[in-house]
Amino acid sequence: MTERDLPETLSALFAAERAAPLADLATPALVRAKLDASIGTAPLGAATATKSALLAAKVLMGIALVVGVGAIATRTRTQASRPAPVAAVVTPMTETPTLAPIAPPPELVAPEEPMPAAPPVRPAAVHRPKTAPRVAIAAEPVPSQTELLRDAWSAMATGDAKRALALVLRDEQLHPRGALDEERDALEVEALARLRRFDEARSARDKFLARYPSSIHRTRVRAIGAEETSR
Amino acid sequence: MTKAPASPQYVGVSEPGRPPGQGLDVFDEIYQREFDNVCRNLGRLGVPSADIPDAMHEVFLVLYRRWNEIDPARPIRPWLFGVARRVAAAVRAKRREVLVEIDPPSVADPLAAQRDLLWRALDSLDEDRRVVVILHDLEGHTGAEIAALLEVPVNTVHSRLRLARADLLAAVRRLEAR
Repeated sequence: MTERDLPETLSALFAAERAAPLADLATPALVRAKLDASIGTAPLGAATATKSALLAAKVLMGIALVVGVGAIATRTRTQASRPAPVAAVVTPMTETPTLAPIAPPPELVAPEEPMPAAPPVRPAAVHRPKTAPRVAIAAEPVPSQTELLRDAWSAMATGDAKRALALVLRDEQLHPRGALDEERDALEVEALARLRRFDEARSARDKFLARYPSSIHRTRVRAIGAEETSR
Repeated sequence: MTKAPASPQYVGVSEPGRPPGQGLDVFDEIYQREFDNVCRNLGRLGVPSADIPDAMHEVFLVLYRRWNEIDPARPIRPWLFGVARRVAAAVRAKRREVLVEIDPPSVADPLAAQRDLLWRALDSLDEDRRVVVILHDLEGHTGAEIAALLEVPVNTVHSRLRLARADLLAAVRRLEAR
């Protein structure tokens, strides 16, 4: 099956999902704090965990939620500072996966790519050599379509339709054929209507409905059109 | 139309022959790099949002424990997907069947609303079809790779993918119409 067999609605939805933020679902630092508590003093690759360590994980999660990540950051993570192991051993919660990892064909091996700069999850005072982050520094980064549209949506949410429209137009210039064009064009209709530029809103709406007949935004875009024609 | 990114390869994910506990830097690197992808796949595989942090913990705990069993010459992402799949299956098995009100999408972040819509739609698929559409359309694996991963014929993968896309599209339209 090829990409062209993928309905446009799903393609747009997949692109949006890949770009959607995850900060509202899980925080790396908090999950890592729980993980460290579960691991306890077990070395990497040791298939043991202790009931006490798991209990400590729950307590630690509670503390972390109350006082924030800053309290976790003061704990240095060294072999010497780990708590002593406890005797009880529990069975791992999940079995070894049966899915065998496969080597991709040569054309799919990712080229050497710069690692994004890691967020400061753990404190600087660790007793092992630090790996320098591999970061590609761009001279003048062009904002991505995701960044522009996120700012545009935020502007609309705070009532600044003028700024939202400016960001939409900038995105049209910088990313004329982006994965989020459907979302951008829907936002343009909304911004124009909010600014009471009804003729332009109607024209943008008609263009949108013609271009994306099965869009998941069609109901909302039509509603914007119906609302402003009733003025 | 944006193609799903190809799964990265981690050469040197562990260092055979070195004593346990010395690969922490690599483990940390993988944790940072794969965190988002594991989170997304857990959501795609039907783990409710509130359960995702615990499920994330489970996946990386398995990685930590099974570290020395991992082949350093193989990509880590399919391995993590396999673990995520098992963790998600366990969560789904425990989950009670309750009717959940679908919240209207947040105006502040429509991307999050679309993510939520897609995950709800994926949740309605059969497990076999859900896995194939995630691996192919979201994770970027080829039909041949998926066939090897799941130990099924390539034609089965293509057939499941076609049906999965049809089911997914129907589910999205159904949810969007509410």
